[in-house]
Amino acid sequence: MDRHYVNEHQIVDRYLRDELTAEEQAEFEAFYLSDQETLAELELAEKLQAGLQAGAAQGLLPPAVRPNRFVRIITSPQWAAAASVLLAVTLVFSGFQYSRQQAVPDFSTPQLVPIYATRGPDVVEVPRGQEGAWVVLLVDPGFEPYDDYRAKITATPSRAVVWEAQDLEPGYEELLAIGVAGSVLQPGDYVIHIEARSGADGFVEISRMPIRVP
Amino acid sequence: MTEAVSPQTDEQAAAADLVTRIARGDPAAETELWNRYSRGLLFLLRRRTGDPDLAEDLRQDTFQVALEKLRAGGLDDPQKLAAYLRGIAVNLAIGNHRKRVRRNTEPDSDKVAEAPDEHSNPQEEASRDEVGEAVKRLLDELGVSRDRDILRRYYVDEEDKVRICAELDISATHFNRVLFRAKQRFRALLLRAEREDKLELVDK
Repeated sequence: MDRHYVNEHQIVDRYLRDELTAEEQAEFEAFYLSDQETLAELELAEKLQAGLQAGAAQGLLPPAVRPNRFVRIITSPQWAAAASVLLAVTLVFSGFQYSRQQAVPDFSTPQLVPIYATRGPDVVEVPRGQEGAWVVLLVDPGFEPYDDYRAKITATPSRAVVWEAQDLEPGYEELLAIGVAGSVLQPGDYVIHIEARSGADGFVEISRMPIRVP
Repeated sequence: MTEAVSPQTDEQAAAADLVTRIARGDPAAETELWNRYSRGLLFLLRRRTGDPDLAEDLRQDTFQVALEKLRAGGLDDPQKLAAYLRGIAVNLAIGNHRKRVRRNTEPDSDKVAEAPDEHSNPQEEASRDEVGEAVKRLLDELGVSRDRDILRRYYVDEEDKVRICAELDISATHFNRVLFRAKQRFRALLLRAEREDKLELVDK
């Protein structure tokens, strides 16, 4: 067991809910005994659960609302897929004008790649886009909402900017869709930098995610 | 033909080193053993027993049993030190539970609820207040009511994740993301509360 496995399989929450098998539980307990970061996650999740339960008892958290039929339709997976693609196509045009790529990408074969920030040095592997195709990286901008987002991708270790875009807005499921021509992401290591600002404040970097194209 | 050997992790190497040094009689290694595993053992025992004081006692017992064994010559597989400590702790917790059942000294839950909380102290109260405040702010900041529903149904109503996803028609990845982001924000709020506390103490 390692941190990646723990994150991937929601072991922390499942442990707190007694949903692990006896074998998984034994393995996880031995793991967190010696992994301070996982132990800290565990303590945090336990506090959050206890806090939410206390909050619910005090009326801070209203009873869950069952969605009506209309909400179920617009949040269905089919709609989600369509919305993601539409959003991505919109954004790829806005982002493309800042791109240094000259070739017009092929919009008929998109690859949607969700990328989530994780703690630690985990690198997300992004499949290499076919020549002429384009890749849409769906990036979680974080919890705190901002008015304005911009993003750039830099190569590692040269830090050269290979792609950048401004005026991004979180769309479906509050993700930033970053459309990149497949040819931009040649095999190698990169970092996605997300910057944001509110009102008249300057941009601050809110997220930095290492990715690798094998 | 060579056999494939999985690389030794840092934890395994550190554990093997600790076991060797304790067997050699190095007192610093015993302190290191405590520093490395005591917090996790306390968490584990608290979850197993539901009693913070008993968990403290059992943690001491766990180290005592482990040190006797380690001083006497170590472990067959020193790399599995964490699993070994975990095994002792779990056995002690089970043994203690059996003893209590035999003696029929299980506390009456109604009486416990009525009894004054002798364990509470100002520091714990402050920490509980901080958690409460952080949760309140977290809920205030959640812009999407569906996210609030997800937290409520998962952490408070303890509903099954698959069922929540099906009823809200959301993907498992979106569900995971809501939890992940809520925890990140909650952590930041708690850290800020701790920092403000420290500043207040300095001012005083």
